[in-house]
Amino acid sequence: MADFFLGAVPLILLFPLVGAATIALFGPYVQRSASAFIGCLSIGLSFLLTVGTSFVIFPLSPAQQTLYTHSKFVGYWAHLPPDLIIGFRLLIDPLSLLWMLIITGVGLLIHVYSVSYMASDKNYRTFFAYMNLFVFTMLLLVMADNFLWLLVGWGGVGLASYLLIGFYYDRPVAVLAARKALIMNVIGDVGIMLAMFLMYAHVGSVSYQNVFGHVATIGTSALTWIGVWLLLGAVAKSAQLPLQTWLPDAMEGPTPVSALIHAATMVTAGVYLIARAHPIYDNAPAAAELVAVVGGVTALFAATIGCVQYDIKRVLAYSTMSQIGYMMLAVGAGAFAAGAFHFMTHAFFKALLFMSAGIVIHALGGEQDIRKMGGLATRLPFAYWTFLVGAVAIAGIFPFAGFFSKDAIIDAVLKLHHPYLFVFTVVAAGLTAFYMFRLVFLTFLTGAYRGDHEVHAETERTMTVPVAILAVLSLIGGWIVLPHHDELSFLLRSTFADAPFPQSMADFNGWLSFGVLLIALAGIAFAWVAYQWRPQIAAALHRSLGGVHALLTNAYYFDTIYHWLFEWPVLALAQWLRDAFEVDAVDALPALALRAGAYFGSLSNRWETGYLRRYGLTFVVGAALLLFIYLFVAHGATAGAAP
Amino acid sequence: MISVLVFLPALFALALLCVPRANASLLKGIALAGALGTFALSCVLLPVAPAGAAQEVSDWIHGAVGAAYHVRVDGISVWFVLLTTFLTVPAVWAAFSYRDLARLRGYLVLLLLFEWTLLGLFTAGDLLLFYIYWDLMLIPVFLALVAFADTPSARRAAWGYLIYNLAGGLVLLAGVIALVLHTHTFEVLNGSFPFTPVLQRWLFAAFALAFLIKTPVFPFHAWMPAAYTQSPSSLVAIISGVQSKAGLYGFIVFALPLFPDAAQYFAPAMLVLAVCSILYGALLAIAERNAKTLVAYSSLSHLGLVLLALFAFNFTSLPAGVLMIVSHGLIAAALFLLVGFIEERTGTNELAAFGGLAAVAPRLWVYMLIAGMAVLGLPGLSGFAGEFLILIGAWQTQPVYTSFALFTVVLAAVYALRLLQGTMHGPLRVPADVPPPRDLRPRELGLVAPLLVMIFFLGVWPAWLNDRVPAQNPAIGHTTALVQPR
Repeated sequence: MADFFLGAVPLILLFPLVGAATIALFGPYVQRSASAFIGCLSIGLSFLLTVGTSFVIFPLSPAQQTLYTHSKFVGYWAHLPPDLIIGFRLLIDPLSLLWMLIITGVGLLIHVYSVSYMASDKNYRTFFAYMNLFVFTMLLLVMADNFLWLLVGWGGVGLASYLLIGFYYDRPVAVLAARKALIMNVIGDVGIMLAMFLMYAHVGSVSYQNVFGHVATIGTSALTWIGVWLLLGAVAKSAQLPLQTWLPDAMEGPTPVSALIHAATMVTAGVYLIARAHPIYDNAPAAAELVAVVGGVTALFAATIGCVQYDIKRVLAYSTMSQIGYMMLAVGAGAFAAGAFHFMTHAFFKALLFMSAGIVIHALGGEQDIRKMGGLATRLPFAYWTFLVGAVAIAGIFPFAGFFSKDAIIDAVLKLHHPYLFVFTVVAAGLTAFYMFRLVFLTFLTGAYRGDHEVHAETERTMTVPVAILAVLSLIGGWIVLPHHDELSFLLRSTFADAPFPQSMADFNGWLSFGVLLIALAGIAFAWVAYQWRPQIAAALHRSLGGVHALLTNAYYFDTIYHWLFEWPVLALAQWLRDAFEVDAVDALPALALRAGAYFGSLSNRWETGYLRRYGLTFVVGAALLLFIYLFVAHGATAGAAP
Repeated sequence: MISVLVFLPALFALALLCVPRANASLLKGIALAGALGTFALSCVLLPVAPAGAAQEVSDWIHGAVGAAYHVRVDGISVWFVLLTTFLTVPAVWAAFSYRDLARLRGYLVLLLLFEWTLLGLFTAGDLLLFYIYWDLMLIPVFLALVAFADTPSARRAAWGYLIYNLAGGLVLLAGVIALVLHTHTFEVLNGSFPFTPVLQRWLFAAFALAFLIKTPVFPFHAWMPAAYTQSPSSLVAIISGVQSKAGLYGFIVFALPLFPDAAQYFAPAMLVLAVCSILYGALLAIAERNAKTLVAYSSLSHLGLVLLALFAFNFTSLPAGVLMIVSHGLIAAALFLLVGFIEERTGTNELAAFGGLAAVAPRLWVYMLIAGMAVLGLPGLSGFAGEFLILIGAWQTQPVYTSFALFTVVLAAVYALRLLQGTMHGPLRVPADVPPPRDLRPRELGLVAPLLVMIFFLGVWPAWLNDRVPAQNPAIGHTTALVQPR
């Protein structure tokens, strides 16, 4: 059995690819439902194989695990002189496995959910082909054993994300959002490329094994730069400061896309990258510190914006940004297992929140503005209760999943001596509870329904069952790490064996947990006061803090600043080059040469007068000149040169 | 056999002339058979070439400076030959949609003659043949432009193309004469000649100027946008896909091995031109409003990258440059053909005049997506493989120039998405006087498909090509003498 699953590892990767190709090639010739079935089936098979592989790999001791970590070597991607060798083989260590389980598991649930959610869309087949393509590239990203193939997966998920953000391609907003997301992601790709250039310069390789095995031989300054460039890739993909602005716009994509790509999996690729490259950050404290600061600041930054948004999916997007900030902070501080833990629980409750929100949006015929919702708890009870579970979980209320994972991060940040970032995380925890329950109250409670769409009932089993499963996971998912019994960091121990700080999350700091829990409860209470009990308080706050409110509503004006700082100058330069430089300089260059030729031509014209005496003179002078050259210059030189 | 390969397209062109103009199906059949046959024959060379240069020499001109008829194919030139024969097939096939049936024969003849001159250039074993084909290849393009795209602007583009490139050819001729006066032979490959440093620089400058104009490289590209935009798409697929590589081929095979010291001396200037081309082309592509011209400027940008690869003097980037040359040929040809299909449907390539074609042409969208992502440099496609391997090599010897070149990765995303979204996405818009566009026909799907397959193939397995570019090739051997250790 063990041999079967280890041998079948390549299939985990191949099933979604074959699924995508099958739908793309044969989709038009079969029924719509067949495409959906193929899409779900391929992810389901991948999930089963991943689970089977997990049961083989996890129980092994770290020493035994290393025997199976790498699959068979497939072939060279590049083999160039003097020593640039890049190969392809798969990596299945505990860290990859954790990500693979979430990608295929949550991916399967979201695929099933999409069967009904997308049912009325005319590009139904295309949707499943794109989603399968995404799962394939995301698996490639986490199963690669060198940075080159990681980058191939990295670019692939960027492509899938681009395609799915722009899925409704007849909407100009969606087209622009997709473009923005891909361009910002490409900036991140450049970061990873630069990191690889440096790795090759210092180690002569870009494979994990060689680079991580030789970190000691790379100087600290080079290592820090490698860390910084990898971080550039991570912030672009994970929507962290300063490359965060694409994620809220990415909500233009269908809601299952937001759940899978822009919440549960792809946007956590940055966290995966830092955790994977932890030997680099372990030896480059400055780079690691930068990761932690970026994460901590983003966690707070995004949480403040989340408090004032009115689009239900945008609130969730800022919340995702903030929660990934927590994960980045954890891996930057050195608490890799805690970061991975929060990735796992976040995948559960954030996918749940998006999918519950999707039920609401679906029932309201596409409405996403929470000012046009309200009082939906009675009309959409299933969505209400599941959304509530998600909100409680993300707010970090005991005993839901978010409580355990967020607590592990806050605890680690304090223990590893980041006092300022600790304050950030605690404040962000309070804000998270506040804006999530602001969402709960405005959407499901607070008076009567304010919208003008008819509310359709929620019936489809394929939508409710995946949501229910995620609701259960959002409750129990955190129990893998309990006081004195930390199963997760035990499972991951071989990946983080050489980390400088202990990865175990088993020693709870009771008072700290209690304090953070109180702060979260205070956030919920404030949301209740301001939006449920006395709505005039919220209105009064808006009035008195108009400037702050505008600042937050516009997400600190990052879009405007970037427009004037980067977009406008580049476009203006390009336009000037096209309209002025190309015409006045480039086209003038051959014209200048022509004019010079014409000028010399006109000189000879002047000599050619048509008088015979002028030609006779020319002939005599020319002949004399040639004779002179022959006799004294050419002949003399040859004679002199001859021995 | 090499000579047979070179002259085969010319023979088929002659055969075409014997067929009456009205017999369109026979004309098409012969032309396509010629292109396919030439490609099949060229495939035979692939296993032969890397093992050693395949040569054919026979007596030709006797005298003080004699010249033999000398053709050869080695591990580097075989890729240029294959690229030529591989791209001519879809180009000829695409020309079947040429509207004016009365002039189809002439056009197909010119395409095949163009292939002949290109093959002659890439197999030339000495400088004389190289020079002859260098100027000869201008004629079919000029005639095709002037006679088959009959607008005043097309005629202007044709003359611009001819005069600019003839000027370059003239400088090359001067260089060739000066060189032969010292070597007393045209057989300059595999030889080393003791030029004085000053002479080396002059000769290199003459060769380089001609090569830079033909590629073209900034700022010598004034002829390019108009010629590319006015050419029928099947012709520009070969001009951009193959002919633009003639200059780079000249650098690899002649200028770098013959004048190594001068190449070193001029390297900073060449690197500056390379980086300028890379960034300038990308910026102009961003500002461009015509889809075809946009692709032309992206070519300028990508070929600048190959120039960077050549003058970074580096073991890694030089073979990666060959990969990039092949990859760019595939991508540019695919894009120009696809843009041509769009033009056939909408009557224009102005981005402002149409858009949102994905709604009515899903297959066209998939093809445009693959080609667009390849030009964007998406990891996993051949464009990325060439770009990445060039940059990682060039970084080791020229980190400053490479850093500037890296900006093009982001700029490429901007113009590739402008092209892709501008043509395919948004609400459906077409000019008022055209019928609703239909999706790609089987012929169109079939003729571009091999290009896309190769773009995928070289993206996931570039080592397939690079393993067949011998590192101990004489051309690389000469230049690698200059390489600084990593």
